Amino acid sequence: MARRRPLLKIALTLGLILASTAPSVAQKPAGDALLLPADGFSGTWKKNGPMRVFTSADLYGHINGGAEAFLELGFEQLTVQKYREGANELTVEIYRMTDPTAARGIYLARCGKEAPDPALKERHTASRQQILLQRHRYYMVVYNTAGGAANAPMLVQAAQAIVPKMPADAQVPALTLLPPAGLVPGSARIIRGPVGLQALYTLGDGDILQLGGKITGAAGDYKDAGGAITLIVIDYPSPAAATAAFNHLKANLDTYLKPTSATASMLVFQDYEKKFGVASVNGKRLEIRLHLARQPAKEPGFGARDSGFGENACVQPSPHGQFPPDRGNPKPG
Amino acid sequence: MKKHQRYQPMPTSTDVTRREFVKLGAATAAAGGIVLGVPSFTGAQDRTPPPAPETNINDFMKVPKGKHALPGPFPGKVVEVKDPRSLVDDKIDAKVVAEMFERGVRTLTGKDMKESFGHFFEPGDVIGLKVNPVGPPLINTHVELTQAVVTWLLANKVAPDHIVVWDRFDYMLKDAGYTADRFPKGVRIEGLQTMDETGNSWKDASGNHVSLDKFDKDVYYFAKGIVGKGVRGYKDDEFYLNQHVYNGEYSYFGKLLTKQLTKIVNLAAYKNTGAGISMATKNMGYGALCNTGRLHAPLFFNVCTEVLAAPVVREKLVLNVTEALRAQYEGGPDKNAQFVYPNHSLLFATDPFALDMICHRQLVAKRKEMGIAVNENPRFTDYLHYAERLGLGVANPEKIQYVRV
Repeated sequence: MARRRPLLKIALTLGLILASTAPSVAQKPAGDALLLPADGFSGTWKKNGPMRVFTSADLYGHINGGAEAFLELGFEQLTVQKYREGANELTVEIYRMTDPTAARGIYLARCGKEAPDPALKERHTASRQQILLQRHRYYMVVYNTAGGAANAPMLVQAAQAIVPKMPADAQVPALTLLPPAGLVPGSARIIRGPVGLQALYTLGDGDILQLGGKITGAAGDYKDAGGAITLIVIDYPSPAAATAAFNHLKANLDTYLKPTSATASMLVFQDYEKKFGVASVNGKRLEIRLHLARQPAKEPGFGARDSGFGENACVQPSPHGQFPPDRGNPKPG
Repeated sequence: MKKHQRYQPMPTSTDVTRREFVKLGAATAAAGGIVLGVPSFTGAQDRTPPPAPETNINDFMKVPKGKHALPGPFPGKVVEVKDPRSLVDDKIDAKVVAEMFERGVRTLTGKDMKESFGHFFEPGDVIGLKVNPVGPPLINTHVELTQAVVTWLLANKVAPDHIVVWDRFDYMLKDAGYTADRFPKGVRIEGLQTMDETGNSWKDASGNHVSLDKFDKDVYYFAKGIVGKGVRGYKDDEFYLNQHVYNGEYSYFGKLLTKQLTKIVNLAAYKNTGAGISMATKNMGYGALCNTGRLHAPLFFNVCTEVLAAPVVREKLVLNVTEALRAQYEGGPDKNAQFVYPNHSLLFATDPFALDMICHRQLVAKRKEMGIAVNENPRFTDYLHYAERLGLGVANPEKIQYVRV
């Protein structure tokens, strides 16, 4: 019993610290009230009910089952306000993310094929049911809650009332990790953890790439003569971090993926569709290519001499703009 | 190739009472939430993926199957009814939906509606209609379908107060249009729990959770080491408990299921959750009990099989209808209009696992058609094959009888 006391003491102390730092109902943030359209915007639209604010602690309560993607990318708070004009209703949701990369990440994951409205200049997509829009670290959704087609123009007007109050948009450096040549339009994604990765591919359980919600990777699709492939590129803070992530992947590869060859810097595997993937680390960069029709070349010294596209193809991604075509040794490793 | 361990038996130590087990769980939670943690970013460094957690599935399977046990009288049979008149200009036609419901039931059973009723129900049954209210007005279970089921039950002399429309959360039911005025007098509409989404008023004057008494502490789903503390997304227990009522290793079934309902009709919506689906089995698997937030990361889809294996569900779930008047292929389980399309169909089965397999394959095909990234890792349907191995349903597509009318 005595042995348990230190642990109990630590637990209680940490519990008290956590309790004192956790937000309580009374400490709820004020929300982004200043960004919201004013009561009576566009003449007759009135706020309908109180503004509600959700933090990371209670986002699940608002978007049941959808919160993980926000939290993983970096979420600060959500401000929700309904507006009404007679039987018409719209709902404004303003997600304040931690940074513009997080906001762009959630937008890209949710926008689908974009259909811009000419009245809006920001990155957005519009339909008569909703507008999704991103600017700086804000991701915004305006819903046509009542659903009528006649109500749809009000979505644009509501967005126009909000956007000028947001900071100017900023660059998203992670997206420059993707070579622009051949990138399939609309396929770029930002990844900061397993939720984002799993939408594309399952490499293993948990945070298999050790992104921790902090390190940012980018993914995109490319097409060439060999078919469509997916490229994931991540720059870690250091070569050691990149190597650790690579080794973690190698040691914990998903059970449905079969390693066919591995070196200290490259892992080749075959997936459940008999297609191949290759992960390679070079310096602080980890690059993963998926859905390859043929087995990639092996590194020299690993038993292959006929790599076809060069020993560095998998090990050293081209700095910018080009990556090697998908062709290689069809022989199994 | 190594495989995940599917399940492990419950501990055989009989000298630990259930009450002590709860205490142990709480102690583990108190320490584990801080010292050990649950799978999280910060704890993931160099972590070897653990085997699937031990659960009490073996206890469930030890209970002999009864007359109405899953997969019901039509294992592996899935009926899809399509009618383009069901959704026109974004408006659901209740009359057409009622016709589709009848056609689906009759095709499934091969009998008329009265005889079909006799397939599933007995006099005196208290029948729960489990709806999915998440994502209104686009991608929830719509009231028009639920009304059609209620009409069928009333026509077969089920007393109105023996019909209960339910989900986990009362406010979500209201948001999705499930209000008393939409149903005949006496039909009950109940959330397993009251949940204040702003986190302000879920405790009573004495400081207890207002929904504490709505869950049966004798009937539970157990997952060893998966504790309801430190769940990602919840910074403290206050908010966690708001949504989940209890924490610890136990998820208790609602008393509505354990004490009142004698039959269940599962009315799911047609949507994705990530690379998988959130349809028939998830509607039940995550909708019948509390303390589910802890289960998502370590067990996720396995819960959809194992909770349905619990006798309290397995012996009562007689009919599944997945509403696909609209369907959503990406961005679920909450609504995202970008990915919602009119699909004009209802799908029927007594076997929810066969039903989900058909729907999963349909959704994968739709995602491909729409150019959405498709992660076809078999793990996203493993839970359906797991159910087949447990004898709860049919998951092998080659064995499924898929009928379209």
